[in-house]
Amino acid sequence: MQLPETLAFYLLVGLGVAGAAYLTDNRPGRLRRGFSLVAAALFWPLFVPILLAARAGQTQPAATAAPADDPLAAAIAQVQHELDAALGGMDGWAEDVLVREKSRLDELRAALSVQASRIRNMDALLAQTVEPTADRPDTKQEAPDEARWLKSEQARRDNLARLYQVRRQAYIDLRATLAWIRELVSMIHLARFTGAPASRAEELVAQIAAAIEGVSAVAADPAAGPVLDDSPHFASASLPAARSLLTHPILDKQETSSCDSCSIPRT
Amino acid sequence: MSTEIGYPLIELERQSQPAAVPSPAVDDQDSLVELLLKNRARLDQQLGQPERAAELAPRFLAIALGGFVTYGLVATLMLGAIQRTHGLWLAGVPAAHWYDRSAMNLVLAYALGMIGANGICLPSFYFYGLLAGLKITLVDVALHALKGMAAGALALVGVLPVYLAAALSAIVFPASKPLLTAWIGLALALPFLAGTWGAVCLYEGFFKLTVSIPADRREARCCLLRRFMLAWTACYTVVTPLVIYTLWHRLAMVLG
Repeated sequence: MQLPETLAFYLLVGLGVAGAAYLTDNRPGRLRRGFSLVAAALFWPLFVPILLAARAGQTQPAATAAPADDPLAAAIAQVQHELDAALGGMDGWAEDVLVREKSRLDELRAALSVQASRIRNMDALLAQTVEPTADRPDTKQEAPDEARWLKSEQARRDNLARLYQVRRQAYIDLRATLAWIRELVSMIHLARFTGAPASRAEELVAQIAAAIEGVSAVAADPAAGPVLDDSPHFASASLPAARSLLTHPILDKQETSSCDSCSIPRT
Repeated sequence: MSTEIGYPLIELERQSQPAAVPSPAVDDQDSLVELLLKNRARLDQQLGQPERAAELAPRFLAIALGGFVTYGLVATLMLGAIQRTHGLWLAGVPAAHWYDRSAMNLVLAYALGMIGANGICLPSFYFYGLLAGLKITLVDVALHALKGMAAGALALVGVLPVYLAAALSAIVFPASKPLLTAWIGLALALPFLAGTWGAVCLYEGFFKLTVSIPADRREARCCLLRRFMLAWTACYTVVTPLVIYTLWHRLAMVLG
């Protein structure tokens, strides 16, 4: 295939990509959209990943969408809003730490949503649970069955009570985490306006990012979370433990391995 | 609120709506050019926001195209001026005379070639990043590559007046043939010399992504990443002149 044929195919694909780019571009301004159209037709290999990523991003929120009037979602949204405002105010002061901690902050946001979703699911389950009356055996004619029925019913009630305790603890933990993040956000504002060094901001952001440790452990693996108030896991999973996470779990970890092929110093 | 089995569910207090909280800093008003020159850390932060990719990519592309087109016009004028005053046109260099139909050959060849070569090398850049252990997407790679290209184009525009002033002296004053050849060679190589600044910016931005590598493996992986980036830069440096020359040659055949 000669160059003209190659160019023809290249531009044919480019026209398709340009059409897709034009349809998905919601920005105002004819000039901008016109430039994007032409650029996408000519340089479509650079635009294809962005178009595909935008499509994937649009499908994600639907899976984890919360009801519009959900107070837990509203509380998380408010904390995230305050956090974004605080982090947005760090430009020119300590923006490096934002780049460094970006992935963990994103994980924290996701973990908060997952934990809220978990609580909502337990709420829905507990709300649907009703008193069993129809299947209760006749006490005069079926005495042995009655005893078994009562035993099972008692076990069921115990399990539901435990489920309620788990839900209650998850809720308390989530609220405490949100309050902890808000406290740290206020500390960032305070540090910023009192002329604190950038290292202080980095420390605070690292602490916020470290809250992921407390949330995601419960959200991702419910078995690792608190089961009962008297469980030994209970205290360790609750938020005050997160206050001990004053050091960065990744950055403060000493690298012991050296480069296997050169003597370039540790980064 | 209570359920039918008597387990009270905790009611959340209604949170007040965040009306008075200031929104995060809006970056739309900020010029990408200024960020590229003064605050690349903040720019890298913006590159990490996938929802901004569709907005940033055309803007980077516009900066790169603007820089390369400006360079192309100046280089065409310089080559034409040297030919007019000294009658020298290097052997093997396709036509790009400002006084005939081939005037846009150099402009198109460099603008399309530089960006086209970037697109050709993009998949290898992505695979190198993955091999080095980075958690990246093709969008991240595309944006960083575009940022590097835009930074290179800016550097090119920055050094262009210096080159122009120096090269004009060769036109105004008598100059030997080797010196004129050197000026022409420098004109054609200028995008590659300025491109080293783009490579440095690309390296900086890409290296910040290494935080996604576990700490105990980061050191060895960073070393590998350095070598991969060097390999990619070498690959790009080889591919780009080939693409530019092929385009230029074809355009010269078609346009004259």
